[in-house]
Amino acid sequence: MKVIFRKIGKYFYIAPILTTLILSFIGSFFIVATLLIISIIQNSSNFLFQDILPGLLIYSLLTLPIVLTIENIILLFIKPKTEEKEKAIKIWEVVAMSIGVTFTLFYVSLVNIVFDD
Amino acid sequence: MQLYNHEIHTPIATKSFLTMGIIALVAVLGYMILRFSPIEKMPPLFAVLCISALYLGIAECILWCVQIFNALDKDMILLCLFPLNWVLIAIRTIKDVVHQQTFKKENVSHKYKHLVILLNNTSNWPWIAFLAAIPLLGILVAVLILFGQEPDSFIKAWTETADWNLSQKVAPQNIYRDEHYLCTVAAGGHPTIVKPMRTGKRHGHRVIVNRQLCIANAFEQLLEERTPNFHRFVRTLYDKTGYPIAKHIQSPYIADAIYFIMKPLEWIFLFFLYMFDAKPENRIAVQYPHSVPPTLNSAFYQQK
Repeated sequence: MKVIFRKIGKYFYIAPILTTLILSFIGSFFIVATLLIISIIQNSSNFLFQDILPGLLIYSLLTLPIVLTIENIILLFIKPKTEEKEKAIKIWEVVAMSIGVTFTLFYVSLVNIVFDD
Repeated sequence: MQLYNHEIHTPIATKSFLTMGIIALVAVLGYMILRFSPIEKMPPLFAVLCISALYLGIAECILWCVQIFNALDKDMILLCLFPLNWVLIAIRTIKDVVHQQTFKKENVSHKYKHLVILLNNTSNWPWIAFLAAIPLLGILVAVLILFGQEPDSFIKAWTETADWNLSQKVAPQNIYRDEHYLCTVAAGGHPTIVKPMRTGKRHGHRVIVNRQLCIANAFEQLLEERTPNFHRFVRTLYDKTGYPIAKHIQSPYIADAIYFIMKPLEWIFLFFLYMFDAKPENRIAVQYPHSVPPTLNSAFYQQK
């Protein structure tokens, strides 16, 4: 387990954005797999095989801000040792904020908030 | 503003959008300067003001979270994630700035010795910035007054709202816009065209009622009384065809158009009402009451 986390950490500093996207995809994969297993065990049609691909896409979008938040919390306690790592973090921060703004605007448009007095 | 169905009021008062936007912009600017400029070359007071800007951004994010947080609503939890991330990024930035520079003894002068010592030691910057955040906010507010913002816009942005945790306004109850039936949808058009008379109750929800809707409903009631089998057939047919069209009508302009399209039908309904009902206007008037009309045996009549 420690090796896996160390490898994720290593890849994160090389390609922070790609690692974040992969992590959110892995997260969505686990959610989709769980839903599919539950659906098969209960013999229900709530989640079918044709729902896998759209499910992966939708849950990737939902897990992305959660993965970013977890990474942010971890980075609060781990200080990058080299200048290159620091630079990677800075780029990642700006990208994370841009994703955050886009996600918030997109999500606000989905919930029924009317921005008018 | 009158809202319909499940719509929610804005969590930030729209007249304070400029204040909130400028504070957010200043906070982002402060972050960019602290993150991408070398701290060693930066004047200490300027760096302190940048940290103050970050604090203002943090305050805005915390207030947003307090305003919208609802543990039972997952949508609102998701909307708290970005402000939470901003707070974390801002804290990390401040932490990095504090760790980057250390106390420089050679800069100590005699005249302003204490002030220089205080500013040269970066570990003092966070609390100095905390104090400096108040005058910085004051300067921003003073500038924003010139653009029509109120001095207390930063507070009013949260309190002059309805439906949220910090809200102090009570909004009128949402009106239910029935998305099933064309006449109900048409009643949601522009008031000068569709001429709403009053509100009424339909399936327990408050709806806008105009004469066209009352006539259509009165005609249906007459049809149900006189020809129940034919009414059942018409109702089943309309439920199947009326719904897919009506649910896409969201704009008041389309509702106006539907109102005009339904006009010939309204006249036909009116013709039948005057043809087969002894008191047609009474039947039209009692459609969509707020409470159940009293019957002849009820206490209302017995008291009289």
